[in-house]
Amino acid sequence: MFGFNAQIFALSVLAVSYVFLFTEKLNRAVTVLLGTSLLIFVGILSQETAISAIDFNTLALLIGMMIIVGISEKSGMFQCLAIFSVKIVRASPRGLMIMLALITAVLSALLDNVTTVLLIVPVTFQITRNLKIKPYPFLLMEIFASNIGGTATLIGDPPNILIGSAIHLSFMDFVYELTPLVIVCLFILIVIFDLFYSRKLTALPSDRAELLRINPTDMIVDVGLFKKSLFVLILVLSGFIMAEYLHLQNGTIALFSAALILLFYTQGDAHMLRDRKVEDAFSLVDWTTIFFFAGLFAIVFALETTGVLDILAQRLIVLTQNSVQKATFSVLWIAAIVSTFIDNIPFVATMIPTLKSMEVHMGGREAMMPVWWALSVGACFGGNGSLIAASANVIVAGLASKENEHISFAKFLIFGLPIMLISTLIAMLYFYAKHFI
Amino acid sequence: MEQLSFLIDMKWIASMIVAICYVVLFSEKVNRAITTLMAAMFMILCGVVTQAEAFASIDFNTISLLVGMMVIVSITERSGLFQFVAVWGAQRVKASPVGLMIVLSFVTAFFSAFLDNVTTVLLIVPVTFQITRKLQIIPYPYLILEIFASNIGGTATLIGDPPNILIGSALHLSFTDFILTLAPVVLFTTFVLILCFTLIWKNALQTNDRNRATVMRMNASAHIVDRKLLYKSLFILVIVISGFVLAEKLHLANGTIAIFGAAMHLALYTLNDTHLTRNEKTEEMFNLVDWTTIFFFAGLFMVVFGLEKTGILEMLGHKFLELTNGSLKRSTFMILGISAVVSSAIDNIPFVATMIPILKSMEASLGGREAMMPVWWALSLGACFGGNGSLIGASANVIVAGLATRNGNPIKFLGFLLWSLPVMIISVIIAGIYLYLRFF
Repeated sequence: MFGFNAQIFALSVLAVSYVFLFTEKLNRAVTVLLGTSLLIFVGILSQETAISAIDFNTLALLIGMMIIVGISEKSGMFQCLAIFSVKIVRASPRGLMIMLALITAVLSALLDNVTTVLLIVPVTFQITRNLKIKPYPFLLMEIFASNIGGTATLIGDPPNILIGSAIHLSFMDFVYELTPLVIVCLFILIVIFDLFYSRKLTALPSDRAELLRINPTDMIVDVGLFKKSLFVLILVLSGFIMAEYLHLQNGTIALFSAALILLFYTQGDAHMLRDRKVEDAFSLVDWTTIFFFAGLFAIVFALETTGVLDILAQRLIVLTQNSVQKATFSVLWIAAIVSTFIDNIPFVATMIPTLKSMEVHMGGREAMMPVWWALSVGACFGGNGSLIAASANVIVAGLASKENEHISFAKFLIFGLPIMLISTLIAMLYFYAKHFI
Repeated sequence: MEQLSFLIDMKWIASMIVAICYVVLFSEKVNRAITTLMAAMFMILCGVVTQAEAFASIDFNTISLLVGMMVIVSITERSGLFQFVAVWGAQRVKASPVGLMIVLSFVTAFFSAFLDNVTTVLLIVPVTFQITRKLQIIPYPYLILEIFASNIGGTATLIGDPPNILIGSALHLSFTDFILTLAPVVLFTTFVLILCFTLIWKNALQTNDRNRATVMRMNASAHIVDRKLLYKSLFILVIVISGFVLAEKLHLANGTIAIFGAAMHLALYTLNDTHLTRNEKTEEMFNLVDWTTIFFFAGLFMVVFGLEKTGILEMLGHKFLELTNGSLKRSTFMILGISAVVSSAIDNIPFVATMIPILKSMEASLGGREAMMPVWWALSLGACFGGNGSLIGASANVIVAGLATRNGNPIKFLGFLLWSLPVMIISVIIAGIYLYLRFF
């Protein structure tokens, strides 16, 4: 209806939203909700299309997991886990950094990144509080590790799920192709953090000794709730792993388990108390983050529906001149850069049909595989580029601000952008060595 | 054949899930949000609906409208606007007990037309206690009158009562549609109600001049906690209400207007704060949203959709049409009566949510959307007025009873029934006559 103007307008709304996210003059949920309202007012979106653009599977997953994690936390489960992991590395901050990075990367390869950080961040806060060290570097590391680790498998990151299901790749295809690259990047990431942060992190010997004296099982404050939470957590995690076989989506599994844990949690309470506990549990959900996601989905959808993303994809085809090597590298970099600024899911979703249409010119599906891998790696690694590039980043920032640890948009860039560039560069060398020599 | 057995199975499973869900809901043994969410997830787990279908069946216009209005009201509440209006009104009638009765019920009816009923009574009941204590009269008649006024007043607008939000959203009715059709009957009913109450209680409520003077000395504007916030709130309320009125012309859905209003209000409310306070205050306001109700609604939409998909609701619609011989007039009055009786015994929200697809399936036989409108208005009036039928007929009733008990003036189930049943019956008869005169 608006043609060219609509594209400009949609882009401007995104740009203005970015300005507010950068300067932090408005709450981020309020910013994107106002942006979405504006897009509806001028008719680029309607309420229906805006709502249909929201990925309710992701929101259901988030809400469900936040409730489950929030209630489990009351049992002392994460404190117990924190003490347990502290013992393994003898309470050394440097050792902790490496261990948390490895745990995050492995978990995020098997679970989605959001679930991973929701589980690991409360543990991190417990440890850093006890050791009286800053949680900030640990949180940063976990964001990066979750995005890099998630790249390794079919189920680790939403772009991989999309690509895998679009061109029928198996779980092992991803593992063979991407795991070596992920391990290299993770190693370099850990080295960088060790150089910049870990060496400077010191904890008082007395704090360390005191922490090492604590018995992990003493941290469980409510044994009944601990058992119930453990049961539900095991249920939910095995549900995620078997989701494909059960033909269920993660949102259903998370919401069902959340309802179940609420049921257990309020079992046997009087009517009034029960309702109050449930209402309190709903307050455990980080609603600012939920509304931020809802608004962001709608704004990015406006870019999609006005054809801004299409134009990007078309440019790409012209750029590559039918060379697989050129296509691989340009897809890799464009995916990385675009994913730095907008959510990578809609971008990958737009790229998939475009790349498919290129297959004929590139010599068939087999010959074009490097381009597909480049899309996956670029989109996933790009998630490290800025604070709103990936869901997990936003979640960590939200959890951190609940603990009065502010991760600002601008400060994150200082670390995120170099990490993104270095890892993408490594990926470029890796693809070159593997496919074009 | 195989497909047939599949269909029968799904019908059976869906009905079982809904039956258990409603039994648990009415027994109040489990929190209502958990109940409907569990039932909805079982619908998906059993394969009655897919997750995508289930989420798509949630009426997000209703959800946005509820969330947006709850945020706006929570912020506005902090300004002290509502208490100010109540005290100011009491002083305008010179603090006479009968005048107070008229003022409080009008204020309650008016507020509940724009706020949800629970919020309205939560705001008005404490002020009522404050004033009646000063006048040394019993609060009981005021409290039950406020219950009735909140249920009746809420019927007047699209946003006044959950059944109206549901019906309005399902049929794409506008704010003005509701006002034009329902406000006259609501005004008249409120008037009759107040008249009856003042006549009955006139002699029982006596106070002396000294007590009245104490109330007159109350500083109404002392209730305004934050004057700047008050102006901001009034500004937002004006925008949102005029947005609702103009919604059709602007081609905007009510959910958008409410969410926009909420975002604007949050922006204004946290305007001069530092970054951290701003985020804290925003999160606090999001937490004040009644999420139990929101998830209750979301679950309910999915559950009812599961039932709808199996075709059971359509079957019930056909049965209903057989009963009424396809007569519009008969359908209207039957729906009015049934909704009133059912709503006085159980929560009217699940009832209305289930009735909507049933009535929609009857549209073709009753001559289309336009012709069927009387039936829809009957559903709204019956369900809302029915809430007055008993102490558990609506959430606002339960809340007032809870507040009254805590204050030492308990409202008993049977004692309330003595008042509520006649009120419900009279108001439904008025509604019936109104619908008859207007449409037939």
